[in-house]
Amino acid sequence: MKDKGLIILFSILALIILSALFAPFIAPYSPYEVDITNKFAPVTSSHILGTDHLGRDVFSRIIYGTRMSLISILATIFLVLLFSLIVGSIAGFRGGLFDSILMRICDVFLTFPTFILALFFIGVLGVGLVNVIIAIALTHWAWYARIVRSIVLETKQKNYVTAAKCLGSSRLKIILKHIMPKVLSQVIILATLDLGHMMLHVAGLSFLGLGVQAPTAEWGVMINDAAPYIREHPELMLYPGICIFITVAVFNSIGEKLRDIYEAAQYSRESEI
Amino acid sequence: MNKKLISINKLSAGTKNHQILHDISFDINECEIVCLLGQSGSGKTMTALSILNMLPVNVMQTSGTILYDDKPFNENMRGSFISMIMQSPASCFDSVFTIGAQFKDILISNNKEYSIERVCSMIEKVELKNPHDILNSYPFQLSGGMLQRVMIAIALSLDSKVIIADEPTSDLDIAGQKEIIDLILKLKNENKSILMITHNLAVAKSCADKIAVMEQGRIVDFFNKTELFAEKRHRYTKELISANNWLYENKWDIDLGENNAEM
Amino acid sequence: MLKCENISKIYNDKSWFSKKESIKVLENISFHLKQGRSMGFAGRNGAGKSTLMRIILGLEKAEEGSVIFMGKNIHSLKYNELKNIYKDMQVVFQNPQSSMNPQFTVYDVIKEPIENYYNYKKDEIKDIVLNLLSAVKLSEDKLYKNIMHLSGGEQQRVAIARALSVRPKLLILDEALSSLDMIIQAEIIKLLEELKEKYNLSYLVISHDIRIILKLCDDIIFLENGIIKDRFFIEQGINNPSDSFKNMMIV
Repeated sequence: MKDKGLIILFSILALIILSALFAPFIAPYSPYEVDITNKFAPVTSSHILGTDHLGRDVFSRIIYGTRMSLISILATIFLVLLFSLIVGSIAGFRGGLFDSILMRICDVFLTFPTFILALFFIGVLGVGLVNVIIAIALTHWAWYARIVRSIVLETKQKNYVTAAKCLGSSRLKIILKHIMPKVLSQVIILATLDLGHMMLHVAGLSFLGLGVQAPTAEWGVMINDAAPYIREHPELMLYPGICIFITVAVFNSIGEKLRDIYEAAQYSRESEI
Repeated sequence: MNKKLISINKLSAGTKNHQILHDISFDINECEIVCLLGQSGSGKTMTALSILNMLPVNVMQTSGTILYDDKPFNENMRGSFISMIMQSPASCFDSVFTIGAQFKDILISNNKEYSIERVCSMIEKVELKNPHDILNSYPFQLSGGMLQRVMIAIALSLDSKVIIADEPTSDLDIAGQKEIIDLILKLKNENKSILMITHNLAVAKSCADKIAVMEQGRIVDFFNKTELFAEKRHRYTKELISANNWLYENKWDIDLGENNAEM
Repeated sequence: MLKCENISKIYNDKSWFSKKESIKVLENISFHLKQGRSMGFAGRNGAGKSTLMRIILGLEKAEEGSVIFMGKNIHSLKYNELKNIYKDMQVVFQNPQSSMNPQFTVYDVIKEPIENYYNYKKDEIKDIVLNLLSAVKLSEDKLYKNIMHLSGGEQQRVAIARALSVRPKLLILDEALSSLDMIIQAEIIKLLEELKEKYNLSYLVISHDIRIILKLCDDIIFLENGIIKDRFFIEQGINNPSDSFKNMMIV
């Protein structure tokens, strides 16, 4: 790890994760403690970022909001990967009719704009964080499944997979030992690049009032709460917005750096040959 | 005495922490085939690349000079003075364009006259039949041996004085190798100098005038072909010869072609 | 031991827009390899040697004919049953770099088949791997090296060790030596001759280099354009070869 940029990025990420983990110790107030008499308090030493329309401490809400955001995107990405790895590798490895059917299903999912499809799923499943996660996972898995399938197809043609067949390895073992490591290393990088995008999705749906429900501290909800007061107190929207921006930027840059490193490694391996 | 076309003097090159070539010195004279013989990883290709001034980014020439017809290197020499035939012809052509289009492209970018007749005569010169069909076909439709011939035809039509052939035979089967060697010998009669890179002693023996044996980035032995079996040869050359001879022995008691013809 | 009867292989060009073309790659190939003998397939590139090897290994199906190895018809076997065949028949591929997973160490590569066929403990496997390494004359300190950090000759030795780890009776060498340098070629041929005595192996050598086949084999089959042109046995020597075979002999 000689890359300075990567060290900085990872330390910011560590900061975000730590603040999510230790939210009760960092936040000076409870995020739900209403104090109507002290609403729209300016920045003071007792309230670092002031208070919102119900007099809740904005800084505490942002710290707690980190938890919600991280949990929701990690759960989404986990679901997406689980789904796409299973479908993609089965389709790629088995091939034939099976492959065709699975890929046509993927095509159906890919034809809809993701946001509209997510709205549709929420309409069917109902409002709530869990449903938002499921909806986003359902709208994204098809894209990943296609990528997984193409990597599996490419790796399957490799000579060493043929060799493994001739060494008596079972199909499962070939998938797990020879194909999966390669698929995972590429898909995880892609997922990191996509994390920011998914986070925006969650925040966007929360902003529309479809995801996390009102009193819960979440960045999207906070922006939604602050929207009516945009003229008098625009800073209330700005703080969670900046948080979303930083987190998304960090995830994207980490993804990009990882991809560069992976490609460099790949290149040097090829040039060795 | 023939003119020195390329003269390499104490050439060394390497990456930051690893020296690849040590004090390489040899000359290529007019109408002469020089063979660089050595194992993979001995620095043969690096030497060729430094002659073309096309070393990979992380490799630098650390000392020594290369003179081209007593002049230092300039960009225009590639193509007009030296050209190269690559190791695996299949990966050297762009599979999107036809052979003819790529041929034309190379000729025009080197300011050579281009006409179908000239190209066809070049292709006929490398003993390929139906030159028009070849020009209209895509690289993946031709076999390795045919592509190798097309490469040679391109090098020929550039009229360069020196041709560097990097392992031109290694992707081919034995019969194909022999045909390419015959072709290279024919090139010599057309007043070309050739630097041939190979790991195969039999190939070197059948076409070279002079052989430079490389081991671990050094030239350990340099001699005329006639002196190949001389007593003073380097230990490594002798190893090569004995391995080569051993390969020709067999339990079937069969004399294999050229080996005895040359003895 | 290995008996092939009337193998024919046709490739159909399944393009939607152009005319359907079918190319006959192999036609009526029959041969019988007896226990304790080694056989060589000679021929130019594109003569169908590699396709034949893939058919023998059961990686491809032939349109006609049968491959019978130690009494079993390979093409009637399912994936799991082929595993038992591979215990007696192993293969070393052309390109050592591509036939081994580039992320594996030498140890990982050699232990893969051992794990598939035997239930050994970890240190037992390590002993076996070390034994195999010394059999192919590689030093022990290479054990945990990445495959990609070895030279071509060393990689091919690892591939041979991997194939020998299940104690096969027949070892198929698919152009296994042609990408190597001459001195290393000679070393590996010597090694293969030794291993033949030690493990009582039969070889099936596929090569365009007649020298390698003459060194290792007792029977020679010369393929041209998918048909058997010549057959020679060491007892009779080479008599009446076809012109194209004579061409192969001028190396």
